[in-house]
Amino acid sequence: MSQNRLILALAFRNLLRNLRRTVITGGAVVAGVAVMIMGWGLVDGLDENVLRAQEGTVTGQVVLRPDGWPEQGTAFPLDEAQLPSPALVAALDADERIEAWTGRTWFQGRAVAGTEGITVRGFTYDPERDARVFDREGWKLDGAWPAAPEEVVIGQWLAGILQRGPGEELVIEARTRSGAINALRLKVSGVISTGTPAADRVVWIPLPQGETLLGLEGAVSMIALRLPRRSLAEEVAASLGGQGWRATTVMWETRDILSINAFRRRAIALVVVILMLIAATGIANTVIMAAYERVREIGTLRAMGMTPGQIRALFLVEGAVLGSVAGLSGALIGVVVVAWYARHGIDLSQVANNVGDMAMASTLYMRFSWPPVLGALGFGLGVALLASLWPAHHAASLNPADAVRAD
Amino acid sequence: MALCRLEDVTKDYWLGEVRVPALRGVSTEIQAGEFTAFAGPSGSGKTTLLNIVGLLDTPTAGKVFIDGTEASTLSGAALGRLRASRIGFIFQSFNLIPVLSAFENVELALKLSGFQGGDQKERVRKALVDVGLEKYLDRRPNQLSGGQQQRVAIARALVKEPALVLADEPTANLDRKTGEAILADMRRMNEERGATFLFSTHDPMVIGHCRRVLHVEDGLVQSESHHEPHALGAAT
Repeated sequence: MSQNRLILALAFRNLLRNLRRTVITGGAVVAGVAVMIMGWGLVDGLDENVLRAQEGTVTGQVVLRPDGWPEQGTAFPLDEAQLPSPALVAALDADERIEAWTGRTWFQGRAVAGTEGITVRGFTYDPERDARVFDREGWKLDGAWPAAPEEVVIGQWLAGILQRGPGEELVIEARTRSGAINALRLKVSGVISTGTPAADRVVWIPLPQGETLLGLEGAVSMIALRLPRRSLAEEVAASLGGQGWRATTVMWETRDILSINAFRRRAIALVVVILMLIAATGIANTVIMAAYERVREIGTLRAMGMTPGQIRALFLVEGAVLGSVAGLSGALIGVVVVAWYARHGIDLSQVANNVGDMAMASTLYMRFSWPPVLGALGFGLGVALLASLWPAHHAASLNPADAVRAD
Repeated sequence: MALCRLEDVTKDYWLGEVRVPALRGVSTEIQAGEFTAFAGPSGSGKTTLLNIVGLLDTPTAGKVFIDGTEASTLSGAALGRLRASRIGFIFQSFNLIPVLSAFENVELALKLSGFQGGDQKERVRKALVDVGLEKYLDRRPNQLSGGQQQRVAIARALVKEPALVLADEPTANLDRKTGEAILADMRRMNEERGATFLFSTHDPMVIGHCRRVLHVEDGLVQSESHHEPHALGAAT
């Protein structure tokens, strides 16, 4: 035990002997570990950002759509909208895994403000049910939710384009479910900002007016479900399909952007591997330089009774200490950065406004989790140990009689 | 029983495909308490002999016995343990560990020897006090003079009370006055504690302090002489 402590103490002293070299070498490990943790925190945050934006403003954790409703694209074939059957409503009401559900019907139309008109998208919703599915936490409303039949809420981005705010009038034109052209003069009661461009670019029309505008007769183009937790989504979706409805999860809805994030994760892993290879080269160089510079010392230690195994351990411990200290420093930097941005977020409003229909919150919160931290630390330590193997073996195999007389 | 016995020891080195015989059949014994030198010119084989006695090197043929145990029967780890506990080394270039203080250099040797008894710190301090370095315990080697460094090396070799102290040209990097003082320290350790010293040297001053001198030339002990050592001068 005493000799193990001795080896550890010697290893520390040796690392401090050429501090500049040690710091430069350790810097690569610090960078690798920090980049790995920050990269993972960023991509995990991006995943969570997309999923939260999608489930919090658009689909809930599970969404049911009519079988004929297109899986992708921005076409809104209202003739495919369906009235939820009594059996489906009963099933949704009876399922204890479902906290709340609501129907929405998406449409495309035209908004006219004064003499200016633009193509817009919107959805109709049941105000009471919708508020139970989408908790509206973090949403900002300039004005009020609709209280009178002719009132409507519009998204912040759309309000800016139309130059319309609370109390001002707006005409929405759209085709009904049967194909007729219809128009409603509505008053903007509030301008909503959810932080998700997909929801902030549209018109939110409560059901009585939505029915009137689109002639839906109770049909909806989607049913959004709120679950106690996201991990139930697959199981609930699997149990609800059929009867003319297709059930999908929030993960499936966002699969395209999640797959891009998975690619980003691989890119970060590649960067980390490159950084770690640089670090490994640096560590190997540091330890082998130490072995060559300290030949006489190695011989002296052998003369004093150190075994080849202890010499090998001494150099491996030097590599391990370098890897551990640098790894912990990198982890500390990574964790502090991730924790800071997990709390304060990164403003993505400029990016989010350019991603179109993709659900993405305008503030990205990095996500902290232990596995990347432990993985990065283990990776850093493993790289340091591997890089020290050959120099340690070289030092241990020196002939002590030659080594004690080395220059 | 001899502390160390060599039986017909040979040692060959290879320079490419050319065999260079360094030792050509050396047989001798070292008894406990001796103050003895392998003396000879450069290339005579005296350092090779010292390395073989110190178990740092292995003979090409022949046998080496330490305390009656034949070294070739021991594993590498056992040889290491034997070196750590029974043999102390003093080198021409002092060979102190530069990142350790004088105290830590001596303490390292004691810890590696596996010494268990008593107060280790006090023992280390006393070893350094015995060589006159009580004021330099915390100094690193680069903060000590050559003579002071060699005294640390002596303390390091003696702290574990080894059966045999091997000194390879211990005065070669010291001025005459310091060399004399170092030798006086070693004589004192030999006479007061009975520590066995074996030198490899061609320095007449070292040879003058030895009671027994084995003259090595061309890889053989050519002759042996015994005489009264110089009188001890005052240590500086």
